[in-house]
Amino acid sequence: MMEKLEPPASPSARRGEQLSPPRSVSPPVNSPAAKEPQNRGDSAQSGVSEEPPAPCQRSPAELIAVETSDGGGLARSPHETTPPVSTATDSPLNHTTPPPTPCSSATLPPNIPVISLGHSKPPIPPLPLPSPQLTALHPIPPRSLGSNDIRLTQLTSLSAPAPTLPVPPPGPLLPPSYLPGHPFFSSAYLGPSGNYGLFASSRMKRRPSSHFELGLSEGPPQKLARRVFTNSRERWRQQNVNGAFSELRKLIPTHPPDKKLSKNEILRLAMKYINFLVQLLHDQASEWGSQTTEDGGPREEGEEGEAVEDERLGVANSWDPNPGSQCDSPSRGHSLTDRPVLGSALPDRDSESMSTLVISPASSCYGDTDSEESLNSKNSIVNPGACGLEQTAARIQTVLASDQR
Amino acid sequence: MTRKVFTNTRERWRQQNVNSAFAELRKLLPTHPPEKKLSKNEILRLAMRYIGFLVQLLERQGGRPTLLSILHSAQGLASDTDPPSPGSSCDSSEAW
Repeated sequence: MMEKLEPPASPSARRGEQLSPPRSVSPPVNSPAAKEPQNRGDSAQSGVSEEPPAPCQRSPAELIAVETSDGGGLARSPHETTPPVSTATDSPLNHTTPPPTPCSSATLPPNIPVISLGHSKPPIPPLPLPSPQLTALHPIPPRSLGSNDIRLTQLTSLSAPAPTLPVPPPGPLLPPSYLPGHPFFSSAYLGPSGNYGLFASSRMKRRPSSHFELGLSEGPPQKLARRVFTNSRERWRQQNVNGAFSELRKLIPTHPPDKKLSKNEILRLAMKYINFLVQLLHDQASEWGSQTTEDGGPREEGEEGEAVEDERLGVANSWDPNPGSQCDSPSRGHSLTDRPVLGSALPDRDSESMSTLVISPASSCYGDTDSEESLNSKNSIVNPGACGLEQTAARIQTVLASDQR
Repeated sequence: MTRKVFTNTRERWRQQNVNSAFAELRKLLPTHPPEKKLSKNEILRLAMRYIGFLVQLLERQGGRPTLLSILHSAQGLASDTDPPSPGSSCDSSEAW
């Protein structure tokens, strides 16, 4: 029995709770307490007799109670619980860890996970699933809490009445909202675990779907729980995407800067902006090329046309421009020395691998075979030296203005 | 009833538009391999990094304040956060 009580999943916070004020651990578990009154030492009981804190606390209390029953007393309980707690904390997503539930073994099925409150680690997967467990869980009203908070509030209340549930706990974190009210759950205890739980659970979720496959006898509560979990996970995922949208929005220059853009607009403007930047680079490259035309325009242009974008992992755009061209390193260095006019710009170019990033959208992403030809043609097409900063500015304005109309 | 159908259709059409915009944006992003499948989240974040990279590249290559950098600074968009990986990795191209 003692072993069962060990809360593998109990978070460090719980451990802290246990350590600091063992007495503060109230007998959250009324029923468990009742069940093991004899087991608890007086000290434990005193602590327990205080108000019933959150379920997580209860677990410790129960642990303590259990421990004390062993004769170790409160002093011992923290120690004993520490190891299991540490292990629990080590694996935040301890869904599988069995029964974190420290609640009195008599009342809580060993497989009920216990969530530690108030610490940043991902909450232990609260409810594994079975309906009876669900009833035990606190249903923190979902609306009252933020979506993130809801997850936090998944305290495994696991209270007393929870009959021994055959269901294994593995499941991913489930938003607590679905559970029918339990007084134990109090949002105050919930720490900002953030999305960790759901995030982790998203991986766990895949696995033990079999665990969820309780027979129909398990009933709707389980399906309900699953649905709730899925909903909140989807919500979290969508929030992520929306966040990415807003960040992308920040990069797109508009007038006024805080103009509201729809998702569609954000995407299309981003496309235009990227195209514009690429073309700008291209023009700059040709501009430089034209500036150093004395040494042989074509060669310079070819070098300029080298497109080496390293951001592309291993993209074979190893733009060795034309195999037969003189645009190789030796010539490159050669040409560099011939361009003193660039002045300070040169070093930068060199450091940047001196190849201007000439990327034609089509060729850059899709294979390099045609890049050379297309780039060369582009070089010839581009108006060398015609793209001054002023023209660039004008182009920017035009592009943005047209986009926003 | 008809209105619901109409709304569904419109929403579907709208969603298709957004998806095609995603696909087009995806075409602009350099990846390896180029046909790699990217999720929407990944497309957005990769686009962010790419734009930041291009801006940074332009600023550095320009050797002079570009209008873009002015624009960005005006808008409080600091691309400094983007790691200058492109630049640094550019050197590796020499080995090619």
